[in-house]
Amino acid sequence: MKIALNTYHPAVAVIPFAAAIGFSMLTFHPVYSVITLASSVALAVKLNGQKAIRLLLRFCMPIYLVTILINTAFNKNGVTVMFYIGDWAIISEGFYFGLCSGAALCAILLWFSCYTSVIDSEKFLFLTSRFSPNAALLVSMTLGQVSKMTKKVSEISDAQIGIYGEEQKKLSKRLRMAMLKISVLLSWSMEDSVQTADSMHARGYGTGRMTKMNPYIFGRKDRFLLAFVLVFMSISISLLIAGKASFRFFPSAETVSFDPVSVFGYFSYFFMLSLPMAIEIKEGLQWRFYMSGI
Amino acid sequence: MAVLHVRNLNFTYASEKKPTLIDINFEVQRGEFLLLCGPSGCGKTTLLHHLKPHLEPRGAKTGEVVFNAIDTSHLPERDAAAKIGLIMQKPENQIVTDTVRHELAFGLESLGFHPALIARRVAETVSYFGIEEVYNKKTSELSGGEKQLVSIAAIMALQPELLLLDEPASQLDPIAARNLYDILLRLNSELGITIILSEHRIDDVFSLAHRVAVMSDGKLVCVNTPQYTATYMAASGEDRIREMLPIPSKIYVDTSTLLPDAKNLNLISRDDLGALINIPVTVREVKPWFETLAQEHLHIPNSSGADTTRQNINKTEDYKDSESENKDKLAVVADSLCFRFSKNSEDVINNLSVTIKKGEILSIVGGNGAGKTTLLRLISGIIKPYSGKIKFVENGLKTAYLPQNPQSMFAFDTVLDDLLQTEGALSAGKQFLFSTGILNEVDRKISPNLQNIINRLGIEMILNKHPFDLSFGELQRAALGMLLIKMPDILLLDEPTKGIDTLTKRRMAELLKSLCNDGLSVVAVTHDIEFAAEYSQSCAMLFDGRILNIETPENFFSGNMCYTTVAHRIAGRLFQKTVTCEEVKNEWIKYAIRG
Repeated sequence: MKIALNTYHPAVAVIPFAAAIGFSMLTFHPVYSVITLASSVALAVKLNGQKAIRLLLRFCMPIYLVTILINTAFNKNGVTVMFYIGDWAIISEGFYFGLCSGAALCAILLWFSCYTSVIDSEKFLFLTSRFSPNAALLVSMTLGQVSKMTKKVSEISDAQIGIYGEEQKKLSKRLRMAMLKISVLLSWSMEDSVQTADSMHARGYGTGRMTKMNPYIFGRKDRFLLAFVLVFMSISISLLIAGKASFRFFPSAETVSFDPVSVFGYFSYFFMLSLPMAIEIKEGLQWRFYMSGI
Repeated sequence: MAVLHVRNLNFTYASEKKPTLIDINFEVQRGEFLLLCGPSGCGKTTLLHHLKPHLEPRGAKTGEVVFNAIDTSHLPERDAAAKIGLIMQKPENQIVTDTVRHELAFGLESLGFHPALIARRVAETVSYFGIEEVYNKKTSELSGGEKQLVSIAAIMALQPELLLLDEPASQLDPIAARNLYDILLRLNSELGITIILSEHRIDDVFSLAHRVAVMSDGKLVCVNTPQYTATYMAASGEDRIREMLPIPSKIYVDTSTLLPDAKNLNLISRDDLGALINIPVTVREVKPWFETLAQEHLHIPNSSGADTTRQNINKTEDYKDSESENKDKLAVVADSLCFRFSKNSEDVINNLSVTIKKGEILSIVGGNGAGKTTLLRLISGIIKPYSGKIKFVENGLKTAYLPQNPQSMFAFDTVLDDLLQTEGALSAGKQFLFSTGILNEVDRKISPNLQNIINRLGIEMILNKHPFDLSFGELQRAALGMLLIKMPDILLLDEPTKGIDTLTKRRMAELLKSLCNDGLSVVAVTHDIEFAAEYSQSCAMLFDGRILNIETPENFFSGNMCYTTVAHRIAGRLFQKTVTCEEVKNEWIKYAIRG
């Protein structure tokens, strides 16, 4: 499926994710946690579909449950006892904390999964190359090398089976085979990298300061997105500094306040995290109207 | 105007005593396409590296290389990088980065061009090369041919004047190789780029070049037009050089020397070369010449199309007869194999049946991605078919698999250690302790069996060399040695002729033949039609996941028009069943004696 955010300038597209991940780490406020979890689930499913649901069920749910269980059972910082299991006091503040921090934890995981579908390695490189083209090249070469090596490993395995027949069953023999394979891989890769180095020098690597091609364009929609993000972000940050986004769990949990300033903060936080989703929906609709328009 | 001038170039590698380049003198004109050929190990790569400043190998060098009237050692590094481009043999090794986009920009980025200029240069290069569809891909997703195109494009983005290519097609299949040559021709004729191309399989490029240079043992022995160079090759006293002669020229020489009234070319000494006529080098030139000569001098009748068709029908019957005859000699019967890589993908091997006879070389030809390697991996048991059965006629028949890259088989510092390890005489643990210096000495006893194999393969000389210092042909031999230790009954070879020159190929084929005489079966999957025609007993074509038919090379290739040997393209209309030069020659002699 086409992801609308992919068409945005990476330097802009990265901000909503950075903000979401940052805020999710900084505050476990119940309302904030609910917002970040809900919006991350929605976006992950929208962007990654089935893959997101699998991630949700296989990783997030277990992690969430374990976080709740551990905090409920072992977090003794609270004062309100919910009930006893034998002599074991189950503290309600621990449960609340588990509920909120678990939600934040899952949300962070999901935000990351969304981030990787929008900012691929190349965009990441582009962003980092601003600071150091050489480091960016290094990462790019490493990524290239990884795929070359994986290919080599499978060729080496084939070759070993080709010589020695079927895969060995005995552990000692398998270990020896593994050692052989690593040895082949190392010398082969090193031999090849000598030629890669030649190829780099042949094209002028190391003759002076490197530059970086810029394949991305900072356009109109990037300006809009940036403006929106910055507005909501500054509101959220100022509220965070003012303490409106923090929540006291221990020793006794406070009640969630719904005074106008806090509610304003909730909405602004919600809008900020919904921006990626809003873009996906907006562009989807836009395309449909565009199609029907002609 | 000469763009490149090489004067009295001598070079000896730091680690060797024998000079690799001896007294090289030549000039390359601006806009020229020079083909540099010679058997492997003759110094082509070394020479090319000397033409690329700052990439010269280490050693003692005398003489000078002058580029645009400046000695290359005084050429500023940035100029040298941009003006002289070098393409190397292995496509994947010269790719530096992980995405095509970044790869194309790499040179420009290294030279510190402005980002806007980089974007424009990359854009124009991509459009010129027509590689838009790979522009957004990762480099690891490209085929070998695409990788070479991207590499050339990446260099062209630097706007070079001189392009050096070191056997760029040796790792490619014939179609990809032809694509590559097409691009080179375009660069040369449309943009006036000077090109020096080194190749040892030269049949496809020979006629494309303006001049052909021949190297032998570090010396440049001939630089002249393709036709003149062909004459030189034909008259050469050296096997390795005569072997390089393109097949059309070979047939021209064979037939013209075997006419009653023609003078014998082999008797012409090198001093007489100037007096000799130029030898034609393409099928287009030789075919009509051959047919006219045959009809006028030997009175060979021109067969009609109907005859050929009837013959083809007969051939099928011949084939069926021979199959039932040889049933007792079968080694492997694969029946209705099916294989696919993942649940939802297409079948790569689809209901494929094949029989491998004892003591034969079976060549399986087929295009790219036809599933040739997959078939070998199935027979060798590396992967299992999801349906169908591979039956070994006798119990305990063993297969051995030689991969396309024999590098994947060598784990140790010397060929001998690898051989010993395969035999089980040297444990990896011991070897490791030895290499770290904990063990001072390792017992390296060569068993009689191993000694036998070493003698047979003729690898005595390379036993103590590092596998990666070997030429490709030597590496292949050493790899074959490792396989033979396990005493296989069926040898499975993946592209055994890729990247080796004609003489090495001949030696390899003779070795395989002698193994077959001992009862081994050889299955070779290959793009190399000439190899299949000349050396195998059976040929099969893999297409659309199945084997269409298995026939003798004569029947197999004489039925085809395009997918056939050069010899058959030239002589096929008159000599229906001849597919190799040797056969054409024999047939010709038969008629010549009769006439």
